[in-house]
Amino acid sequence: MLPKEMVAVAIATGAPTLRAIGTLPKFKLGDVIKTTNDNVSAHTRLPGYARDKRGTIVAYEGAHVFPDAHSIGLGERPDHLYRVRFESETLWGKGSDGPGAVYLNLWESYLKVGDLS
Amino acid sequence: MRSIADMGGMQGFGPVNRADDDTRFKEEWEAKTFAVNLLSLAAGCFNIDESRYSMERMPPVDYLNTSYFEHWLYSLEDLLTTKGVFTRQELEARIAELVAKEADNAA
Repeated sequence: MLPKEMVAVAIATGAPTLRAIGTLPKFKLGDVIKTTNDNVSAHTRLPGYARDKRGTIVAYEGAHVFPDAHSIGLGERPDHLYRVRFESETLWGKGSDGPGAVYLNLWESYLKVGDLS
Repeated sequence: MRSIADMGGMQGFGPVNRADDDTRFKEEWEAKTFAVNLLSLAAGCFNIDESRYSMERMPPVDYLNTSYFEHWLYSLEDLLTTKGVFTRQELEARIAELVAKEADNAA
């Protein structure tokens, strides 16, 4: 429950989701990852178009509330969050409208080591 | 989930209409829906991820035929009833009451 005087602040800035975590991040900047390809039935922040795709870790954002668990009453279950870069061609193939990239903030549970062919 | 809300990369909807980027409320009910949603979050009635998950489970045809704030209203009604803040019967009784009041005012 949010105190009354904090409501305006929460609306302006959003409620913080950064949490403490007892494990070290599995990936570092520059690592190549591949996203998972699971049909999950909860809410998820991994869009369909970015499933089973290769990307590069470009930033570490800290550990945050894990939306998939949080959306179905399983608690916050904080997980490491990374900013991942996907090349346009990786996502859209020949339909890509030129060079470019999409950046997604993705939780560690969505990521696998990417050098598996 | 791979719901109707997961539209990134989907084709056939035509270009994004950037001429309609005015984010101000167009109707009073939109402002009220926004306010009740934010206050329900602040009061701990539900969390933001439950809210998004609720919208994703909206019947797909309804989702496509309704506006942004109608999605908010749908999840608000869904979560406040499933969490037991009020019952579906209470919600329907209140709607009937307001409809009758409006008919009286029009007469």
